[in-house]
Amino acid sequence: MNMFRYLLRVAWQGLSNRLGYAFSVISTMSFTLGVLFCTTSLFYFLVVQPLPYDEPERLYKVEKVQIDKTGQPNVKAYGYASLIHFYENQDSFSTTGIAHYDDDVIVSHPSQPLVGMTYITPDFFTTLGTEAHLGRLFDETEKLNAYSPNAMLSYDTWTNLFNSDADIVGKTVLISGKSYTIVGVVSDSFVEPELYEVGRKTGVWLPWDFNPTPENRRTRWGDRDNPRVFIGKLKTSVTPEQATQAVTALVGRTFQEKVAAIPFYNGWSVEMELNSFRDVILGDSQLTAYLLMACALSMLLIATANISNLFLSRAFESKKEFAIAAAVGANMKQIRSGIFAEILLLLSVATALGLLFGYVGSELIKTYLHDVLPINNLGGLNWIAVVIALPVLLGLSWVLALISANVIDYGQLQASLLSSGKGTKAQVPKSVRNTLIAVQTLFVSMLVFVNTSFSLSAVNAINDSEVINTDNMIGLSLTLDRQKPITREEARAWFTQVEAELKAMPQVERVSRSMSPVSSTFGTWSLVDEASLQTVLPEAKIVDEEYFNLFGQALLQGSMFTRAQATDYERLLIINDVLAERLYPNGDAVGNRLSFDLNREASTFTIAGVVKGVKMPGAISIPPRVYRVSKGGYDFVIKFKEGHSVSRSTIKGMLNNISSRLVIYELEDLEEQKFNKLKNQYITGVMSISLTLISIALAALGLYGIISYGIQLRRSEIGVRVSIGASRKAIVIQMMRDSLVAAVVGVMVGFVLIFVFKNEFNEHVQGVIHNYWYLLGAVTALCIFIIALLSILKPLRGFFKQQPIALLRQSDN
Amino acid sequence: MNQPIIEMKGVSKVFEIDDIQTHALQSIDLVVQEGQYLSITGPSGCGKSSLLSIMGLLDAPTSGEYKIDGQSVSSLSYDAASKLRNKKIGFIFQSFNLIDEISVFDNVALPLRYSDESVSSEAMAQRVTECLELVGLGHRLNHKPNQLSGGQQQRVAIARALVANPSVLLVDEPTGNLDSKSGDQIMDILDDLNAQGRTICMVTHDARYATRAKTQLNLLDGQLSYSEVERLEAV
Ligand SMILES: Nc1ncnc2c1ncn2[C@@H]1O[C@H](COP(=O)(O)OP(=O)(O)OP(=O)(O)O)[C@@H](O)[C@H]1O
Ligand SMILES: [Mg+2]
Repeated sequence: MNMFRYLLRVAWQGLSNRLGYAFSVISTMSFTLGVLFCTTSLFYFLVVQPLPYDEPERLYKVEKVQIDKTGQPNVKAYGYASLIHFYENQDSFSTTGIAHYDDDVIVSHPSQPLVGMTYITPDFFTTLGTEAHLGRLFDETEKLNAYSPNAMLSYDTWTNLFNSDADIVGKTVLISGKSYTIVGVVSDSFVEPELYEVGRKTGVWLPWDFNPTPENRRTRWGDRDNPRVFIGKLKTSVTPEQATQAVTALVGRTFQEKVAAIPFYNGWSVEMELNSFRDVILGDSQLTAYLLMACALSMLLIATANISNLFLSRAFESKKEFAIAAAVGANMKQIRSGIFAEILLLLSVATALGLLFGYVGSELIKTYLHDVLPINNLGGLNWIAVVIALPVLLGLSWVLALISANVIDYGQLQASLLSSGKGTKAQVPKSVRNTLIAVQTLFVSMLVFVNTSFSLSAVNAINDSEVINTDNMIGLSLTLDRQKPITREEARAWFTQVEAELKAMPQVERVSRSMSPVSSTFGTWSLVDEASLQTVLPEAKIVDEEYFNLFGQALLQGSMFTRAQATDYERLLIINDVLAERLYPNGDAVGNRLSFDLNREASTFTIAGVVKGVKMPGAISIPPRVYRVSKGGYDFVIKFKEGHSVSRSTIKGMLNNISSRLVIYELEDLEEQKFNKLKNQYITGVMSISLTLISIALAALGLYGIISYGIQLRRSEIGVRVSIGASRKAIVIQMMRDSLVAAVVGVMVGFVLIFVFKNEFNEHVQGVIHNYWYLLGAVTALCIFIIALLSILKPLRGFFKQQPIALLRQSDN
Repeated sequence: MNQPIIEMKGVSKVFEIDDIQTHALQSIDLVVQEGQYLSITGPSGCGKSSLLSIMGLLDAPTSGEYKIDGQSVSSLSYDAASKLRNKKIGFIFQSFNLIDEISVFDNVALPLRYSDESVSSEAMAQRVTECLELVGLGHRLNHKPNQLSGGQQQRVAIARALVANPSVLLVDEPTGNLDSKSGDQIMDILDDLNAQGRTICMVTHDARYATRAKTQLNLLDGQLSYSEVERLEAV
């Protein structure tokens, strides 16, 4: 015990003379531990932790994949009638549920909030094993076709919008002109599976019967809308493959009977797909989790290199001390204990700091990524992860310590002591020093290169000039309070007046009565060219005559839509240059006709013009698109004059003056919609870039550590050179040259490796490597040069501050 | 008339560590003339090395005036001091202070490489070989210092001190790490150098070697006194 304390004290003294070394080891280890803790925790939550449902491994989301005539999967969507038929007739699942996802306004609530509404059959909850916090869950009362106007609130809605009202059961909410009686509140512990969209949360659960599909579409078997989800718990006697076969046969039969006859679907077929809940909910994120884990492991690799380099240098440096210890009778074990006491001291501090970093990092992830990650129960730092990650790194360092301790040849210790009178002090051999520097440079160069290409590709994506311009624009969607009936003409007149009043506002530059292309999705139309009979499946959007001017899409051929064409709802299309190029590669697109069904004149459209295509945020390319003219409906896009805007309350006041029954459904900045579209890209981008940055920092730290430590060890040599008359500049150049030779070798090897893997890597960064090869190389080389220079200057500055004699003194400090 | 190479007036050196002051040198007055062979003796810790460090511009005095070749050096910059050391001073240390990683030739050539005047590589090779031959090591150009014996290493150090043709050699315990035979050889070389006109300032506590110097000084508690012999000559 006494011996142990003595060893620790000696270690402490030794380290306080080598603060740079201690700093390098501790920061490397604690950084790496912190990242390792965070990623393994995240990995645990995303990959290992069981989903919070009854028998989650038997839960599946079943999707209907429509296959077009060429055999390509087209959309995944259920026709309304087909879903009901499937729901009522399947026998592969023991319990099933169907859901229709929508958003709507709770009109009866004073703040008229827009919340997620999900229309479900009562067995949706049974299948998941949900419980009620208050009142009851949906049951037989709300079963299919019962039309019971009841509602359930999510726990969050109940607390946030209804102040946790204990008497909520029995009260009513007004939604889309219908009054629903609240029968219960879903349990706080219920984690809504994100089956439809990541981040979407249901605020109000309503019975399936009231979903917004209009009556005339409820009898349709073929349908291309897809806000509908089918879930089921597989019977224990059935395998997923058997179930896939059975349900494909079931749905396929009705598809052939009811749908294949429609000309559009000629030659199409369906295939059912069973996706496990784990894949549906965690799909992409699981990939991200593995990716992050890979990053973390590569960091571990760098940290290992750093630490072994530092340990090795330290061992060489201490050689003389060990020799003296050996000379006064220390045996091997005692010498090793000395080494280990020092390492133990370093590791303890590093572990404490690492836990702190891990905790802070996990809390940050929990706070900021909560909305993006598909799990609602992110738990922060996970202790299982800590228990796994900690021994890994500590064990690894211990092994490294053992190895570096063994590098020293104890047999030669005595000899080196005898000869230590001559020459300068014991040094790390030049070859070892250079190898360490080369290895570190290799890491830094690869990381800098890879990271710079990531950043470059991110910057490229964000500054993409082909992406739709949304400066100074807002999207306004209106809805009507339908408690009392409203005639179509009445509503139209109101909307026309809204348009006129918006245009009259002095702050407003332009108004288009179209849906924001950023927030809404484009439809897919199947059109045949009359002349060539070629079929195309362009994205489609209905727009008014102002749309292209508003978004600055230039006219390339023909003419823009006119007000008169919009009012008359003429069968005219404007297509983008991508579609024009595809259909009419060497001719004039204008005047050609595209049709849903060539036999029906009412389904046939004439092309009036061609506009320049725009990219949607986050998209990699511009798809072929068609735009049909219309005078518009509930939706407006408003472009303000530079530096102006109009507040929500002003718009609300204006609406109220027209009719108190006009309700704002959504009012959103298009920039914000754009950002939301890019959110996932941003987050993965930011996550991977910050992880790479951390690894670069680590590798740089390692390089810094090894170079500056090397210089520290050359202290007396530098003293000799100064005493002989070397200027400071000469010393800097000498040290630079010595370190750079090794560094250049490291960079070269790094570049060769990058070159070998260039093609695989290039895909992930949108080809920036091909285009910016020289720039990336120059940045990497510059980074390394700067790190090397700093690592050299830092210790040298310390040396030059003292009188030269200080460098020549025997002691190390 | 001989030129004074080193002129010190009232030079003191005080080390201060944790509020404890050590007066290593107290108001030293010293003049070293060109061609002089001077030895400084004294008990361990009396300040011999400190005095030599200040003489060699490796350390700054706490107070006092100091001139080398008539040039005042009290406020020289770091690099100016290096330049002056390179031109005027050759050091020979007790622990040799050779650089292990470079060859004997390169060790000796180092002062020429740091010199302001550019020296052609032929001239450098000639001068280095000349100096090494002078100390009897002309055949060891390509050895690494740690492949030589202690006495040989010290002779390399002497060659290095001579190579730039300095005004004065500052020598601190040159034989401290050597057996008596090697020590004698080193001292013989120094005698020869002085005979050829080199100015030498040597610190030693070996009375036998001290008496070889023409002027012998004694340092005690930071203060200089002339030895018996010197006094006699002065009279
Ligand atoms: N850097 C320093 N910091 C503090 N005190 C110092 C320092 N260098 C020397 N001293 C002190 O100054 C005094 C003179 O030291 P110096 O090295 O000049 O002695 P010396 O005569 O060369 O001794 P030796 O014969 O043992 O080499 C000693 O008391 C020493 O402790
Ligand atoms: Mg001394």
